[in-house]
Formats: sequence, C-alpha cells, structure tokens
Amino acid sequence: MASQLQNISIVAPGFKGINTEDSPLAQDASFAEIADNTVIDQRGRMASRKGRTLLTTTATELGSAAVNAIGKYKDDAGNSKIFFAGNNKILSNTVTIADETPGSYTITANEWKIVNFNDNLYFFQSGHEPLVYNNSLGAVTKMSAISGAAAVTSAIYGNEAIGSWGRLWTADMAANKSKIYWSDLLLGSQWSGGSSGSIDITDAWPNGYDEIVGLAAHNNLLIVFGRHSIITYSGADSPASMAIQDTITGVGCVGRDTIQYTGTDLLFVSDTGLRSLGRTIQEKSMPLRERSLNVRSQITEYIQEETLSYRSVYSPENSFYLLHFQSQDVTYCFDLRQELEDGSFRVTRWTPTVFDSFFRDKDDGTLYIGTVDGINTYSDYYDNGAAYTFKYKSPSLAFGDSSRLKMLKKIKATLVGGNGAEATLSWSYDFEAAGDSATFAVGIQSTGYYGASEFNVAEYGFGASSTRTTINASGSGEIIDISFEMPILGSIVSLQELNILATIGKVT
Amino acid sequence: MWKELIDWATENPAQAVGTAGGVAGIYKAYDDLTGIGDTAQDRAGTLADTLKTNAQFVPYGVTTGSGSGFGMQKDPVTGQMSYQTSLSDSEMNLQNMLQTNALTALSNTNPKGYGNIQDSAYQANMAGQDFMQRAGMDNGAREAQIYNRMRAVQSPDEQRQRLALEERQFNQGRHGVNTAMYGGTPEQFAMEKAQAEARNSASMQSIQQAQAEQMQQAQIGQQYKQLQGQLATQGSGLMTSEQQRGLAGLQGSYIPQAGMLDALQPGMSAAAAQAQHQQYGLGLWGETQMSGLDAYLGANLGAGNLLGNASAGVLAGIYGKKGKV
Repeated sequence: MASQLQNISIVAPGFKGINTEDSPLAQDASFAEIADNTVIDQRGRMASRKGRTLLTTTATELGSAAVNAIGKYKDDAGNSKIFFAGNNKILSNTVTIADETPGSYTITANEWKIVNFNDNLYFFQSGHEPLVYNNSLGAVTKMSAISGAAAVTSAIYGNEAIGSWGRLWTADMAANKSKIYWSDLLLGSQWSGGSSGSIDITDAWPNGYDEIVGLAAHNNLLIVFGRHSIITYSGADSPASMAIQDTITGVGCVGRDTIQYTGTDLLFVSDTGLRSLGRTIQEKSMPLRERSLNVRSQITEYIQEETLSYRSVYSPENSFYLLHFQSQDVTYCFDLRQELEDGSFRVTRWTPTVFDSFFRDKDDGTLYIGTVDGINTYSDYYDNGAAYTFKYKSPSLAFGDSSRLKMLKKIKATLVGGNGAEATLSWSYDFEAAGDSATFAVGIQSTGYYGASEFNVAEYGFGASSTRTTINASGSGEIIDISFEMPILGSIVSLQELNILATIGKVT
Repeated sequence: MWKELIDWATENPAQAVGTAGGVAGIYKAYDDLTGIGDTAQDRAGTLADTLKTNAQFVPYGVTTGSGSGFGMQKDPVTGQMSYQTSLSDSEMNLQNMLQTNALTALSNTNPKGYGNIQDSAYQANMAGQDFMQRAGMDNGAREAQIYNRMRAVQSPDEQRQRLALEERQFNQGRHGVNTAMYGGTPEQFAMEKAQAEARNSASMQSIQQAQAEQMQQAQIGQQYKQLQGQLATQGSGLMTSEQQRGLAGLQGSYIPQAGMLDALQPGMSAAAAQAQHQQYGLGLWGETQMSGLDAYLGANLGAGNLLGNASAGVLAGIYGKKGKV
C-alpha cells in the first residue's frame, strides 16, 4: 500500500547559506549545496546579488588591464578624488580615466595599498617608492619629493601600510618580511627623526620563521598578521613602548587585502578560511573565530589554488564581506547580519564575476568594483549589461529516512521578483549529477509610479512581483537534490519557499 | 873783659892787690865747694848703681798643684830671658788624649749612626723620588686601571640587567625595536643611559681616584722627602755634634795648659811687683844720681855764686873807681 504523500516545506531555502562541510543527509534543509550569485537579503531569503554598473566610458589609459586597487582621497576641506591602479599606472577619474603616474617613475605591478591619512593619500607597494597625493600637491608625487621627507629609502618600500595612531605604518618589504616601520607623528613622509622607528619581529614569531602579510589597528592593538601566525601589540600609540599582548600560532593571513574592519570584528582570511578577531573591552584575549566553517574545504581549495591576489571588501550597507579569488574569478559573500549557531557567517558564492578589486566609499557607501573595463559600482542587476545566473541547489533531502524510497510528485516554488526571466527547477536522485528539470517563467510586474507613469496605462503595485509555480516531478530514489537556476536580467529575485511533495515508499 | 880787667888792674894796682887777695880767698872757697859737689855726685852714683843692682829682675818659676809649671831663665851673657812651661804627665796625657779624640772627631766624616741615617735618608730620598716620579707620571694608565676595576665590578650586574631587559623585551616582542628618539626602546635607552652614566661616573671617579692617588703619592713622596730632610738634618746634626765634640775635646785639651797659665798669674804678679821694684830701684837710682848731680850742681852753683859775688866785689872795687863795669 502506498504511503501518504509527504511534504517537505523549505521556507526561505538556503537562507543559512552554503554548507559543504556537513553530511548532505544530516544537513538542515535551510542550508544550500550551491548558492551562486546570491545573497541573503534583508528578509533572510536567498536572493540574487546586484550586478556591476560600469562608470568608465574611456579606459584608454587602462588598456586591457584590470583595475587592481582603488582608493579615495579626501581632506578636511572636503576635496575628494578617486584613484585606482592598473596597467602599471596610477589612474584617476572613474569615467574618463586619466594617468596620474609621476614622471620618471616606473611601476612594475599593480598591488598598491592605498591609504588615506592626515589629508594625504599614500600609495604603497613592495619594491616601489611610496607615492603621495594631496590637494595642495595636485598630483601624485614621489614621497621623496615631499617637503620634509626623510629616510624614504627602499627599506620602507612596504607592501602593506596603515595609518593609525597618528602615524603611517608599513611592512612587508621585499628585502625584509619581518620588519615594521612607523613614521614620525603625523608626518607620513618622515621615516627618520622625531618619534619614527621600526621593530624587527623576526624573533617574536611564536612558531619560527614567518612573514608579515598585513597590519591592522584593532581594539587599540596593533595586529601583525603573519602568513602563519598573528602577533598583537599593545601600546602602539607609543610605538617605542609597545609590547606583545598576545600571539596566535597556526593561524595567519593569506593576503593583505583580505583584512577588513567591521567595527566589532576584524575579518581576515587564513589558510582555512575566513576568520575574525573579535573586539573585546575587558577580556584580555580577543576571541578568534572561524567564520567560514560551512565552506571550509571549498575555500581552502581556492586558497591553495589562487595564483594572483585576494581581494575583499566590507559593505555595511549590504551587510556582507566579499572575498574574491582573482585568478579563479570566484567571490564568496559572507552575510554579516547574523551568525549561525556555530559562529560562522552565512555564505554564498558569486561566479563568474570578472571582479578584480573593491572599494567602499565611506562617505556614501558606494561599493566600487574594479574590472578590466574600468570602475564599476555594485548596483542594479546586470553585470555591465549582461545577465548572470542565480543558482540554488538544496542539500540532499532524505525526508527523515534515507533507507526508504521516495517518489517526487510535485515541487512548488515561490519566488519574489525576477520579472519575466525563465527559471529552471531541476531534481535528481541519489547524488546523480543528471536529473530531470522543468522551466517556468517568472511573473512580470511593471510598477507604475504616481506622477510619473501614464494614467490608465501603468499599474500601481507593491514592488517586486511574486511567482508561485508548481512543477510535476517524476522518478524515485532515496535521496533527492533540488536545484533552481535563473538568469538575472535587471531585476532581483528571491527564493521564498520550496514545497516538495513526495511519496515515501518501501525500504530499499 | 879780661882785657879790661887787666887794664883795670894795671891802672889800680893797690886795689888790684887787695882785690887779688880777696880773690884768692874766694878761690879757695870756690874750690872747696867744687870738691863737695864732686863727692856728692860720686856717692850718688855709687848709691844709684847699688840701687840699680838691687832693683834688677829676678827670674822665677811657678809650679801648680797638678804638676804643671812655668819657668824662666836669663841668658847670663846676653841677658835675654827665656821662658818654659810644662805640664804634668797626667795632664799631658789628658791633653794628648783629648786632642787625639778631638782630631778624631774633627776628622771623622762618618760618626756613629751617621751611616744609618745616611742610608735611611738615601732610602727615604729614593722612596720619595719614586713616589714623586709616580706622582709625576701620566694618570691615564692608572685611570684606565681603576676604571676597568670599577667596570669589572659593575659590568656583571649591568650584563644581568641587560640580559633581563633583553629577555623582557624579547618576551614582549620588542627585541627588534629601533626608534629615532631612543635608538632602541625607551627602556633600553634608559638602561643604556643609566649604564652610560655609571660609566661616566666610573670614569670621573677613576680620574678623581687617580688624582687622589697621585696626590697621595706626592704627599708620600713629600713625606719621604721631608723624612729625608729630617734625616739629613739629623746627619748634619750628628756631624755637627761630632765636630762640636771634637772642638770640645780640643778645647778641653787646653784646659791643663790654661790651668797652668792661670797658675802663672800669681807668678806674673810677683814678676810685676819685682818689675815695680826694679822700676822703683831705677827710680831711686835716678833720683840718687839726680840728687848727686843736684849736690854737684848746688856745690858748683855755690862756688860759682861765690866766685861771682867775689868777682863782682873785685870788679866793683876795680870798676867802682872807674865807673861801672
């Protein structure tokens, strides 16, 4: 006798993000096996990410190279200017790109760290003399040419730089991977005299040889990220007296550009994924948390295979932290609205993106994206006019008993948005890659606006349209995988709900 | 005159005869008076000779109770006096002994103890010179020596402090701090400063100590020099004392002679008295002679007066007739 039709309702499917670490059978159905080009929206649903809108119209100076670093100059007088690097040049102007490279200055790479400090914009890159821009100078200038510059030698040509405690700090020099230099107070071009100095932490690494990858000022501590360990210094407001407060062995940082401040946490990427150093007020030791537990293996694999650079950005406006693997064109999006029970962040994956760099404008929250086309903003739902694909795959579903045969009858999907795109819902049994699928059109809703749309033509609406569709499924198996895929064509889409109706059969 | 007298007598034969008789009597008286005078002169001469003989000096001799003596002799031919003094044997021995001692003392250039003093003075001098030489030497080496000793005391603790700081800084991860303000860390700077101050202090103290020692050397040298001076004075005093002793001995050697000469004084007084006697005798002799001459002159004067008066009467008688003469 056939058993009763059983329903599995997955509300807000995948809203816990990707989980590739737990056993598929034991997983919560709220996770997703795949969540490409998605984010967790403000209502906790899986939704399509925004696209990139190209600002640049003339990219002659950029040529075919990508924008690899973006920074913004801003001073007390309100002057501001976006700078970026690519094609071995310092560039400006997001629309018509201009070359700002100083004369007689040769650039051989584009891994600049751009630091805004004390009404100056500083450019640091290993093996290159630092560059300086301010409104008075009016042009990007070699640091040694700055009035009062001192000891601007290759010794301070660091790859990492931060502006904290009234000084510039630099580290990761080509010839010395364990030395940190700090400038004189408020004088970012003076590296000798005054209260400038340096510290060689070769002997301070807790676990043998290591190299400085990045620096951060967090919780009034100087965080020195090594490749395989971390040292925190207290008292960096008086660098001559600063002392180690804590060391972390076995966890380092894979790339300078993975370090992001979120206000409460300091995020960075270690060999095993995204980590955070929590902010503490009273506790002496900062909690170190692993934030990418659910995609640890994936990220570890990407880290191991990355041949170019890591890029990241924290966008409080979008409540995410993006981690981009440049050579593999994969971006992980960590939702920072809330963490899961195990302390990890909900994570989705974006690919392909052709992103190369990020920059968040703190003034208006604009998220700039550097690509080979020039400067883009994270906005709208096209990737420079092209569609991108929203993908979801559920975890393997056993309907509570993996020993029994399941026969799918119907799949009901509820979508919000999408606006006319054709979606594909597919299912497969028992971990087989190939399965059956069905397509359906997402509803269209043209929204009319009062005072803007034509009377009696346009229709007033509440925003995005919702689509509820039922697919008749077929086949049988013990484990069921459900996938959803649709192109994003200028409109957001959210996967609201999946209802899976199956008949439970005999024990196999 | 005689011509006139003759003329007179010629002219006045009576008167001349009377006169002639008177003259004869006068002449007789005159002659008697002249004889008395001669006799008186002769007897006065004899008396004077006797007195002279009696008043002549008689040589004499003195002999003291200790046996020394004084004597004189008159050469019987020439009458020249010769004198002899003599000491007793014991006095002579004493004198000889004293003079010998005095000669020894006076000629002694190395009185007893003088050599030791000289040696001590020499040693003091040498020691003084040594100390003075040391005091005059450059202090650099001594300063370095003192400094090194002070540093040898200070260094282990400084090393411990340095190591402790190194360890502390190592544990604090500050081992490699290099600052423009301090060179290293402020603690390193403070410690280096403190140690530099200690070194400076040690340096200054070593200089002061070396100078103090130099001063001490000089003072010791000076003391040795003073000691040498004192010893030299003592040696000189010893020599002087020896000389004085010699002179005293020399003086003492003449004491017997002086005693003898002192004893001569009474003899000398007697001789003087005898000389007085002799002088008195000569005076008597002279007076006697003079009295004889006076008698002689008186007698002759009386005879002359007599003759004169008689002649005047004669002549008056003669010339009274004729006038005055």
